[in-house]
Amino acid sequence: MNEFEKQQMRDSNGGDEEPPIPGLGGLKRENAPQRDLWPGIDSRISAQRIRRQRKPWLAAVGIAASLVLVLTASIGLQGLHGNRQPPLHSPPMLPVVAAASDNSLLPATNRMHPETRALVKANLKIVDSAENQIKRAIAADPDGQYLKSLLSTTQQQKEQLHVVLADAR
Amino acid sequence: MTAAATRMVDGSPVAESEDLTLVRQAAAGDSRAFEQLYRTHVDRIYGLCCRLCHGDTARAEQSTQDAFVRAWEKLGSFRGESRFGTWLHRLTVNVVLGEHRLLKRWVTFEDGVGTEDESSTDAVIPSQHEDAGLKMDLERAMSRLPKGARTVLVLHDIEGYQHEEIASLTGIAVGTSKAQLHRARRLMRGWLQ
Repeated sequence: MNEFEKQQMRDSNGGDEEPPIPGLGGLKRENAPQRDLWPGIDSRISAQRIRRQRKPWLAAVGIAASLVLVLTASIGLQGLHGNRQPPLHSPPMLPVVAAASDNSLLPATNRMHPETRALVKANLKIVDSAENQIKRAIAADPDGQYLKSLLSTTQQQKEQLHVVLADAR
Repeated sequence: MTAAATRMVDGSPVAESEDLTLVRQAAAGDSRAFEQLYRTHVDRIYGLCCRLCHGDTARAEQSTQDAFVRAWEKLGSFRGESRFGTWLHRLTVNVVLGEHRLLKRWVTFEDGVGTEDESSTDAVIPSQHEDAGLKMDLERAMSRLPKGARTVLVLHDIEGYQHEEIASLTGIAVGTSKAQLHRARRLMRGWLQ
């Protein structure tokens, strides 16, 4: 059996050394509610439909307001950029000076958008929490080899995320 | 979704194409078409809600209604890439687990195991088969599990979701989902022996 087949075997068991509980997968998944739930649903979706029909102008107002906002913002941004541009007759700025001011001397791969950084940090938090929980599970089941390998994988993921953050500066 | 998709309600091509036609009509505002979709899928969705609400029938009814109302609101975003039943199932899990918040709060190893909860086994489908006793034992054992472990067990072992899907649906880490499943199965096995 090659590694791929072994992985498939593990996946079929949920990637878990603890095998599935016999009979669990055979439990019935359907259950009829004791009362008809449709009238409640119908009244809620009807109310929504009426609200939409009554105020078709509200959507138009919303779109118009959004357009005004976008236009205002773009005019404002143009103004800002306009102030930064050098006069046409001035000598061109040295690229090094321009680059130094916005930190673009760093290799492109090392720069990280603030949103991406936040995402990496959020992931780090999730992995941290997973690590803590796995440690607690190990405390309850110290002989569990599966949990130990899970902990090691999680710690590797954590290290990788730290490296990504450190590289990004 | 993999196994969960194959387990959905009558997934025959005819039923699928009927669903798709009804979805198009409902998306255009036809509430009768939506009612037909409701009638087709309600038992499956209510069954799921019962399990995710741990046998609280009032909450399961409320969640079922919320799920169908949310489905009505989002019908426009259904592209037919998966079966309607699969899409609705996933949406229901999101509704019940409060868009990733509830499970995150539940999934902890600090919570203890419970005692047998008779009310929760009332809600989850007494079987008429000869193995009814075993099924009842399983339901009772499940009702004793801590909420987080029980939810992961239900999603993985009963509903057929993979750990990656559970993680993406709930916002918990894949490792957390695996650890919770491990714990749930170990506890269940201990109680059933």
